[in-house]
Amino acid sequence: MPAMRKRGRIANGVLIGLVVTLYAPILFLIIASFNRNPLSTNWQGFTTKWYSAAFDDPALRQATGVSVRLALSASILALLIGTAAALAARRSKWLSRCNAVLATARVATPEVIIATGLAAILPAAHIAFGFRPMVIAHVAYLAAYVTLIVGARAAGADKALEEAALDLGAHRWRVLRDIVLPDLMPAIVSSGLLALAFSFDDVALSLALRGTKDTTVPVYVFSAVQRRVTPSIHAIGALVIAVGVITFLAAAAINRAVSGGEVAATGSRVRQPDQSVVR
Amino acid sequence: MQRGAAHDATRLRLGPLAIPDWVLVGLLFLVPITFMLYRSFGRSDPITLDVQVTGTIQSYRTLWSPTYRPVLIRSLVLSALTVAMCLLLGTPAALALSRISPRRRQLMLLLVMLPSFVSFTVRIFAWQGILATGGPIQSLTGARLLFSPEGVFIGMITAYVPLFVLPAYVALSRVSTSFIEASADLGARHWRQMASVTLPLAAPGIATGAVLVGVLSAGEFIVPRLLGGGKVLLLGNILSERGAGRDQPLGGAITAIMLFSFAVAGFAMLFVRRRNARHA
Repeated sequence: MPAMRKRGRIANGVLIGLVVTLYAPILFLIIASFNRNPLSTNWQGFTTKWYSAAFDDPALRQATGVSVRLALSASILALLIGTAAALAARRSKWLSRCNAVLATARVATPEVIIATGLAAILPAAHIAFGFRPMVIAHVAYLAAYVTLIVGARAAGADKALEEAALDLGAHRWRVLRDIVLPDLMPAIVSSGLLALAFSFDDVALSLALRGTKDTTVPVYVFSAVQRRVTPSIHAIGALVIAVGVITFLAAAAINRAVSGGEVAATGSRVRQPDQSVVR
Repeated sequence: MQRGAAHDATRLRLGPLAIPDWVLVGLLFLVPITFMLYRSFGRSDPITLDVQVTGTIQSYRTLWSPTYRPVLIRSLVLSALTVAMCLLLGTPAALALSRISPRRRQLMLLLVMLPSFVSFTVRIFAWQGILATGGPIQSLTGARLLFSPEGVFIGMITAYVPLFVLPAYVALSRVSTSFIEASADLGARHWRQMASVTLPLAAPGIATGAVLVGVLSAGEFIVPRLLGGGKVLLLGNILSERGAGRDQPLGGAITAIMLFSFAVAGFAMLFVRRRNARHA
């Protein structure tokens, strides 16, 4: 038993160390954003002027607009396409398998490969760079997450209600609308929020496919940081972090509300197949 | 009514709804990858910069030339090291997650997952402050890590560990406690239990996490840009900066090398799963 406690202590220590390492740089950045001179490693007094500078930066404002439009349109399209694919595979082992393979292959392909391939092929296909190719490339990635998450929920769903409705002569679209889709809703909502966050975070696809005026926030930060670190970049970074944290907490809260507290943010019920009966 | 009572499982005929997604995969994944692989057998005209596919393997030779060989080797080594560190640090962390009380676990899971929702670029940029000359690491240890390979390595580890911890945690928490108790009843000491019961049973999940980290870190270009300062380049940098334009054949060769190593990693993972399924 003492051995158990000791080993447990090592593992716990590693976990805590990991969490500290994840958050230390972020806290450091937030503190620097309030420093009179964020580029200095010494504290030179509190100021919020870098935040005013960030809000007044027209390039950042434009980038925010592009990012929001991109994330919204790509996520909505990905939800439609991914949910459709998950619905298609509900009753077929073969289709589920195909979906899983295609989605996993996408999730496990570094974006830079696809981004570069698309950037190479667009001129050959006489397609202009810009917002539209960015949206479509994002959709291709995000739909994979939606298919996986919604597909997992569909696989664990209870089929009795739907069969009963069909037996009683309900029209199949009505069954889809009133029984099947509501059951998938928690997974649809959490995969939608995941899609928003991922799209809002992407650099590789947007960087490779953007036109001259379609800079997104992460691309803006990525290029600004490489040029020369300007003092307001820390404030911009802190704001981006705030948006990420708010999205995440909203996702967790909505997920809890929709699914009645079962399974956190993954939206997947594969872990507890027995719950589909209880629910 | 007319439908009859027989349970026809496919009465909601929704199969065709999968088509849009498959078209998307075809157009946005298969087409560009095939195109790049095809272009890897070409050479670009030094004057017009047009790429002509002649069946030459010049681009693969270029990748092995003294200019790019260090980049290739550095990328492979760095990915392998990142995976190794994820296994070394992520496995105990995942183990701790699977063992703490449910309430604490909820909080810790939240803390581990939260950064993944915060801009990757900003998170990596934030390391500049920690690693910079005059920053906390340098004042404490004297090491100048920013814009060095070590700095890039640190950035890679912290960026990818959470990605590993989640699948590893899911796998470890699924290992039934009855197996562990049984081995304890049979007198297995704790490390022995770990080595011969818990970890082997969780091996598929751990392997999934490791392959995911290996594959995604192999394409990394943001970390070396921001923490390597242009001195520590990886294949991802060459690919993203030049692969689409005048160096398409080289970009194609890099794509081919990456996909080839992913295939190897994927088969290794399948092997672990297969073996595990046999033993279980």
